[in-house]
Amino acid sequence: MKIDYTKYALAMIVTTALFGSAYFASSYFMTRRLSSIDTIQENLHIEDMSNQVQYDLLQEASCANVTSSSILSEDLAKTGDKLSYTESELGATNSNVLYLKKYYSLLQIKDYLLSKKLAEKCASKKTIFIIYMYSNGKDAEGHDKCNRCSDQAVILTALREKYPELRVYTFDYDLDLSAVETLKKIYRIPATFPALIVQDKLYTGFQSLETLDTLMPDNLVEATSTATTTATTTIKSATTTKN
Amino acid sequence: MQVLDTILHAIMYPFIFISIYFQVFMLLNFMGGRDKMKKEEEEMDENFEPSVTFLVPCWNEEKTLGPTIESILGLNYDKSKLKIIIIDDGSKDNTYTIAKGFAEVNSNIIAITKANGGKHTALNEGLRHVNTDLVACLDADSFLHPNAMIVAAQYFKDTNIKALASCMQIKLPVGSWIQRIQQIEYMISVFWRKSYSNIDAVQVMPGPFSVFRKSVFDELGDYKPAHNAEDFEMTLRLHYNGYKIANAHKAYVYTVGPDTVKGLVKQRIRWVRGFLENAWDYREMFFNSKYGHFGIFTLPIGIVFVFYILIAIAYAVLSFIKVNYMRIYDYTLVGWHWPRFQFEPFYVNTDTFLFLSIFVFTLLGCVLYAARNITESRDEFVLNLALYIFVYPFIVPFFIFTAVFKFLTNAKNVWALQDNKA
Repeated sequence: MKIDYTKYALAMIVTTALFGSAYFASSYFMTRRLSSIDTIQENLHIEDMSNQVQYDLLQEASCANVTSSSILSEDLAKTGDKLSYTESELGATNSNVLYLKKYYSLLQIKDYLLSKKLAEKCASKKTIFIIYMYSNGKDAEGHDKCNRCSDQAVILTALREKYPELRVYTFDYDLDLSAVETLKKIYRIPATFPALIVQDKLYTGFQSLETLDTLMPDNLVEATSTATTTATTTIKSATTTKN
Repeated sequence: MQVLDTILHAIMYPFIFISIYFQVFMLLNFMGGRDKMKKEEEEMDENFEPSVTFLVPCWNEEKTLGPTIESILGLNYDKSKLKIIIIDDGSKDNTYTIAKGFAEVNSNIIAITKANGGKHTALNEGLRHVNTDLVACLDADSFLHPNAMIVAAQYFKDTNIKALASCMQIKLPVGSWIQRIQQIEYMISVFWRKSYSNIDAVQVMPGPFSVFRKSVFDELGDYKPAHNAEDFEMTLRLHYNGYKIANAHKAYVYTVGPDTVKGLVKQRIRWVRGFLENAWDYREMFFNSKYGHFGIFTLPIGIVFVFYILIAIAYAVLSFIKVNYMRIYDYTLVGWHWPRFQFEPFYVNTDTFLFLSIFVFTLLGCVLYAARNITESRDEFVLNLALYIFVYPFIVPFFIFTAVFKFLTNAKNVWALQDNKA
């Protein structure tokens, strides 16, 4: 029986075209996501400058005039969330992701420094800072450098929900950025993961919720309801991204 | 977990590709045959009425046999050319009494009773009494549209056509939600059958109503046990011998589907197993161009879908395990806490999988649109479709898995009292 294979070929072309369309549509929306992160970062840049001015004004005014102990507030955390999501979608080695991660890390360091100065200046005991270093990398034998970073992220997120005044700054240890390198040198953070700086003290290895809870000051205010989006929510996905 | 994700994606993407390819191919076939369909609908010669014998095998069908026979008697067809043979396959209820009642008042009706032996034995018993041009097999729980036979007869003007598949639909109004699901399923099958017929590759002659030239049985022999799927075996035999099968998309027959999940699962296990076992018996037809599109497409894609449905089930189960494993694992770390729901357009899933799913459902929409135009079905479509999409996937795994398991383990076939329903 003679068979006309034209329809088979046509169906293959249409199906391939549909698959291609799906791929390109997905890529298009991912590009738009990256653009939206760019916009947020531009906004953050303005807010960053605003906070610097606020800090300068503080030299001339009293602490009562400062509206909040948090500097870059929730926007920084939201950017972190979105960046992590993008990283999980595009992969940790994507050049756009790497650029945004560097920019985000710089903003975090800036926020950390300003927040700390503000806390010292106003003698605020409400704010507590944690610097968290994770790694997505592999060791020489091809094993993950950090097996429990995603677990640590879950712990820190829960801790942040419990203590709204807790500020957690998350850094990729392997990120090729001089500011992060400096931070590592200042706190002498080794390549042992996860690594935490709590109240200027270094802790390496996985820290349970109970352990970290004991490190919190007694007068740190606990949340009465579910906390809003926080910087730490970014960590979990950031440590489970594609390599 | 990443390894699991990779495996799941590696499994599902080919499946989606095959699903889309299948739907596109079927739509192309359907569209390619539209002119032919229109011609079939327009070229109605009401004077062409070959003699036909209806074989009605029945087993415990006292509730539906009467209306089934009435639907034959109500056909717009020359009654002198109609003959009805009711074959009672050892019923334990009043089926034979009802059959005899019809035979006593109508000389064109014959009622036969025999010891139970299964549907194929009943049909073969009936075949021994046939002396008409055509043989129509009608289930005793199925009801013909008044024009069904005159529409079907037209196709036999083409002497190359040896057998005819009808347009089978679920009888309305439906009595249960499980029949609502079948209403959509049968509607999709109507589309498939027409699409396949356009390339001479009809997948199965529906048990409830199919028409054959008498010569088919003279040349190819009687019905066979065929693993309880005699209609599929007959379809395979026809294709194997190069006999042409047409589809009369306007020859409507309405059948009563199972009204319980148990009944449906039982029926489908028999169908799927029957398909697998008969396909195995005719395995030389696979990818053999000698048997046309039926050999190189219809049969292989049927097998692919059965086994891929199993893989899809595995995908669903593994995804469920993965999500819950992560929830439980998080619970061990930080205790229970309610997940936060925050809607933000940024996080709307726009991955390739999503767009492919949209394409799959769009193509399904095209199939249903075309099928609705053929069947002119106007039931509660949206409700039935919602049940088909959201509930049926939970039922399918049971009968596919069981049927495949029984096929692979060659579980013993039960040949006691047979269910005569198709």
